[in-house]
Amino acid sequence: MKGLKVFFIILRALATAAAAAAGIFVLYRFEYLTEINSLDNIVGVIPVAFVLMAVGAVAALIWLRYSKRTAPLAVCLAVLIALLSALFPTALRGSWWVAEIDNSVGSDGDISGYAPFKEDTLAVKLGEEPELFLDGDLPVMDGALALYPVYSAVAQAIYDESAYGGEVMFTNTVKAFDALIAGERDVIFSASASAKQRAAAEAAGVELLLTPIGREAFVFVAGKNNPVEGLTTRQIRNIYSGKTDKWATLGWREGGRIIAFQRPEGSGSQTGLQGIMKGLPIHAPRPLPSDDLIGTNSLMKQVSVEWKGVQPALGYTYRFFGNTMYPNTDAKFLKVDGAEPSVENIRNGSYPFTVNFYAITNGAPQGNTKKLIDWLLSEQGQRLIGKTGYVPL
Amino acid sequence: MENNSGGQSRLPKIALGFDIAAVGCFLLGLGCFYTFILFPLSLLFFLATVVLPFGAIIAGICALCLGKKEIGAKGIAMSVAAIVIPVVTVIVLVILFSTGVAYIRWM
Repeated sequence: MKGLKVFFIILRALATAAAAAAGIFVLYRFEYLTEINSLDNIVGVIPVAFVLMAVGAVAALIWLRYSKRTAPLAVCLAVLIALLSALFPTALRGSWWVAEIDNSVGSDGDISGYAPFKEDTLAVKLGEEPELFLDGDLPVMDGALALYPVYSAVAQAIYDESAYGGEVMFTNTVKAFDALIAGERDVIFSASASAKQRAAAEAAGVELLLTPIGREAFVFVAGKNNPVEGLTTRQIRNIYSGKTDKWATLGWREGGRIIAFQRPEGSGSQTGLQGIMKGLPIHAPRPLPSDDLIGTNSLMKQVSVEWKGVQPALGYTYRFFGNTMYPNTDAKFLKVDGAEPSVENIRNGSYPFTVNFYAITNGAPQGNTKKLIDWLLSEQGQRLIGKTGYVPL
Repeated sequence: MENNSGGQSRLPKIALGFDIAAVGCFLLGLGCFYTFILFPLSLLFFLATVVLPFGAIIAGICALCLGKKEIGAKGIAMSVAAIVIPVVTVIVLVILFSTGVAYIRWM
């Protein structure tokens, strides 16, 4: 009888240890153990509290002496465990708001100045005889906003102006992918494809073929008067996973809360952020105190916004977008892990968020589309990419 | 040991105490955060701020299950308050933050 009692005590101890181990694993998986010093707000602390409560409740249920008197407590603990488990994904994403918050900015802008074959176009000119010239069956191109100047310049360089009938389109990344999958575009230009876009292609029975044609940096942008000059990859992950909410944690005591802007789901920039987060849930955008903070349609303008005498905003985009298409002298690029997003650092790889951008086709490219992509990969094509302000392969 | 609430159990007082302690922990957490030297303590206080209201609700429910004979009329009132206060507080906070009102005031 005594042996049986000892056996059950050991069993309970093992079950408690298993619950504790599961809790530690969850906290480790979502980087709460390693980044515990970066937690500076209650919303960010909630997942940790949920895990601790769940482990505590399981332990209490295991060791509880069951009687009529303790029955309500047992039921409460069981309900608490179920509730915490159900709410844990919400806690990780911090999406407690009653209405969906959208503080995504800068998704569209006026890019008509880059249209090909226009007088005074901003699209760069090749400045030499093209090695490829297409005078019919021109591939229809589309893509990300920040890459429009590239494919517009490509069309201007190798398309016959008299045959051109608006084959260079700009919808935006999301619509461009939909159109490519539907077979309405021959080639689109984007920085990778999101998991959602890959899944949509797979569901439609389409194989997306991504051909790298150049390099670009994914940059983080803040107001010029923000004294924080750079962030580490860890700090960025902490901010966008909701652990860090205040500039004070990053060394700027007077900065208040970080207004961390996000971009629309499916956009190239949001896909870039998802790549940096590596599966870590991105915190839901927090409500903004004023509509003035989301009043403009350009991220580069948005990040320099002032609130109570400081510039507390943080955003992300691609380097070309920030320094060529929409430059703002009141905003600055932040260093990441001590490296500036300069052409040199992008080339030598010391800037950590360097990505390829791609010509994406619906399956293997055929005919003129193949010729166009082959030309882009040639020395002349790469020279044109360099001329636009991007970094050649 | 008869207490002045008319019942034997101290559970209602404990439940309400958890709620009050949660508010205290929140204020202490903020205080520690902005003193910078005590920054690590703020995490503990913030954790307690989240955990204590759940404790208050469980203690309140358990107290109500003991019955009026054990906790008295005052005990029932305190238990109900201990359960309702965190629920209402969370609802109000979610609405205030969702509409941006809280940020306008406190940001």
